[in-house]
Amino acid sequence: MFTDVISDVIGIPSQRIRSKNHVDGGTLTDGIELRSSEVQSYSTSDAQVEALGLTHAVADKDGSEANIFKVLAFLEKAAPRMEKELKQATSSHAFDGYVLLDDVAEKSPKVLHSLNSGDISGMMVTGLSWNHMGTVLGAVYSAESHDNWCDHIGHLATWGITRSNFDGKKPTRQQTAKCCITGIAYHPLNPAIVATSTYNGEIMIWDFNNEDEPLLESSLAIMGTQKEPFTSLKWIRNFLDVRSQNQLLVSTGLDGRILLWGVNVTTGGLKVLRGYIVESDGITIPGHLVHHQTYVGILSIDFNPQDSSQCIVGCEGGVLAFCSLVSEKLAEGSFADAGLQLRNPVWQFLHPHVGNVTGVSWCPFSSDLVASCGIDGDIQIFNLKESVNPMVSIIAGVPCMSLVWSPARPLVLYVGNAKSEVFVFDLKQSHSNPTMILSTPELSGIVNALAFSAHSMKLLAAGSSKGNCVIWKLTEDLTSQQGQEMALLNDLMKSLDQQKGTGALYSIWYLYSLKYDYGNQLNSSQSFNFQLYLGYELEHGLGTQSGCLIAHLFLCMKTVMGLFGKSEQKSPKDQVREWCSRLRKEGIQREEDKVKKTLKDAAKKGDKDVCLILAKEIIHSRKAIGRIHIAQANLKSVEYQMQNQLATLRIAGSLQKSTDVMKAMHTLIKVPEVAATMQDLSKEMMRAGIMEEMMDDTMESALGDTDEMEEEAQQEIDKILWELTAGQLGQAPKAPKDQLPAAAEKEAEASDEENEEELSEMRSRLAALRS
Amino acid sequence: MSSEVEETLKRIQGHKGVMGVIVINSEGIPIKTTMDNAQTVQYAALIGQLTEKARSTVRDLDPTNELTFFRVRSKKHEIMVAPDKEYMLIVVQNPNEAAAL
Repeated sequence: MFTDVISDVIGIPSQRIRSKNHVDGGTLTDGIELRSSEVQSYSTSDAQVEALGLTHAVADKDGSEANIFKVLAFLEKAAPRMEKELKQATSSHAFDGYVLLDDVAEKSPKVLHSLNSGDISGMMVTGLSWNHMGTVLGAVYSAESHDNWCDHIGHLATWGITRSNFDGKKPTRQQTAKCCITGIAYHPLNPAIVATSTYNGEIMIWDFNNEDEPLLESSLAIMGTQKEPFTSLKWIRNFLDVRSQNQLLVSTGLDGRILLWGVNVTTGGLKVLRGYIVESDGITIPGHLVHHQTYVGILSIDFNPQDSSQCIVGCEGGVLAFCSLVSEKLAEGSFADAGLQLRNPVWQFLHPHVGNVTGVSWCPFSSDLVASCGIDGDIQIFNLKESVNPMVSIIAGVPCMSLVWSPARPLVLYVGNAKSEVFVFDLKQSHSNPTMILSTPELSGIVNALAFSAHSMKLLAAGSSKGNCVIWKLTEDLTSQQGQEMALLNDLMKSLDQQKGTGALYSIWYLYSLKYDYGNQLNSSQSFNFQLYLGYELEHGLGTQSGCLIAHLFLCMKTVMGLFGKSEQKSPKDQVREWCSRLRKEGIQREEDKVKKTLKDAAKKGDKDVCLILAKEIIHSRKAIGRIHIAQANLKSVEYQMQNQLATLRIAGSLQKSTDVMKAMHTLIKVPEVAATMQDLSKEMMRAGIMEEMMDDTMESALGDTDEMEEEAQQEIDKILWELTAGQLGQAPKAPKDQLPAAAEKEAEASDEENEEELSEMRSRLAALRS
Repeated sequence: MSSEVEETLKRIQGHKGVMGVIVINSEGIPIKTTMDNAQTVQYAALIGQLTEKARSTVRDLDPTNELTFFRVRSKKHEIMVAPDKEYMLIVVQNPNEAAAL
């Protein structure tokens, strides 16, 4: 059935086209060798086009006249369009500022520029500001400490980082002021306009377009000097008049004032539009009472990016306030301000810090989120819609001096600390620890200022108390939003509001962290006390505030003893003020209230065990309150002692001053020279005395004759008169003298007789009366 | 006739930053070029494909629509293409040079 059949071999013709390949190869070598060198030079390429097009590039074998016509027709249509597009391409701004991503993604942020000026030494950077194009960074400098009045020279330096002659050691522009400059703000629209504020309370507007006279306006002429230093400056959108294009300038000061300035950037008009004062009188900050002061000095301010009338204000003594500048509420206290009605802008006080609030920042992505940092080393993030208590509280453990929210990533915060580092907190990764620490040997001291370039969100500038600035170029992962980050942020805002009340744990952790950080610097007795307090804390489970308070007291003590290092130096006055405000804050009552509330909640749920424990806790805490009061009294005495010491310090200071003056006097007066001069002088004096005596003698001898001469002259005159008047004038006989006295005697006798008559008459009358 | 074609190409070539001008036919074969052969062949083949793809994309989105022009921005160049039924004009420009001039 089946038989093998061997069929013939089937041949499949090859599809390979040899001839075409061959031709192409020929063309390629030809082209490369002959034409490429010619085409690249523009002058000759045009001449070559004809030959090229006709001989080589026209691959169309049957390139007939008809085809040329078609091509021409097409070109007539396409060329104008192409030319239009070419023109557009050169004038287009679509790709302006479009920066190509680096081929190799950098692993870590790198220092792009290190800026310091040789002329400005011993000054600290107090403010940084980029111009709105991100091409110029301005920095202002002031002295590290002030005893009273500022007599330093303040500096303003700008660096044009994109300029060809840019040099990190030499500012592009440098200006000086009569006192320390504390704040700087570039105008958000006009790159030549810069506003600066000074320690002596002056606002200066600079116009760098004017090379000869850059100072456009100063507030000195308008309102004189303010009593207290300005601390920061910001430009905001005009919320008073929405149609107006003019930006408003906002200044904050240590006198608790927020001033709203209207600035005319062309003519230089500067005037105060509104004034606000942050009062601490008569308001209760949760768990804290602020006495003794009617206002609190403002240290930092930031505005809601969506609504420039809302701001968050960080103050001295840990006060943190959510303010609204549209407030019409007048300030209650009487504050002397000529012709300026001060309003109270405070909307709500937020959970305070323990110690000065040095940095606040409003989230650029959500108008509900704000962050604050303080010298207590806490970073708090608030959801303003939900609560006055922080949504997230991060303990950095190191005093934090500046804070800025990342303009590119909603979950990232940058915090400058007192150890010359910048912490990067990525809330996506951790709620407790920094995900990255930026530090470089080029930046030393306290990181006082942080500023993001508005144009390129990759550039972060930081300025330190040692007067140097650094610009970091951040990595791609820090500057580009990652997927669903906004959603994560919203989730965070929702979820974190529910989990609170980790009080005691928090404080214990805090103490431990402190011990970890600074414990090795304490001597034995201090560390013993430290542990004692720690034990106390553990035993009684007190509220967080008292624990923190004690911990902070230790911090302060360390500062006093100079153990903390030199970076933390402040004027003693500030320190005492700060400590006092810290000591005053005592929050155990609040903790008890919290526990009570929890107890009530538990009771509602019918959880007996919990109730029992909580009740015990309340009893404990009540007992503890008593102890705390004692402790508070002790603290108070410590406070007084500190003040006493301050007074002593002051006296010592003044003594020192007077000694200095004496010394200066001493150096001024050169004793031997003075002695020699004095000797010369006495010699001269003596000589002058002798001469005078001699003169006197001569004169006397000369004048001795004058009496005789006068007598003689008189006689002569008499003679002449006698002769002339024929004896009537001159030596006329003298009048008799004896007649009148005789008559007078007689009269006197007569009057005596009369008197005696009267007397006898009187006597007789007296006798008659007697009889 | 051909001199007029050359004239037009020259004019386009004279624009700021223009690195080369190529005219190709619908089959992707270069008709006129001012670039060297190797580059011309490469551009012609690849841009031809891209143009076809772009053209079909536009047509698929809306059958009554038609691709008239497109430009591709790259790190080094900007490639502008004006396609037509039978031919297309490709211009390669260096945008940085154009901006600098």
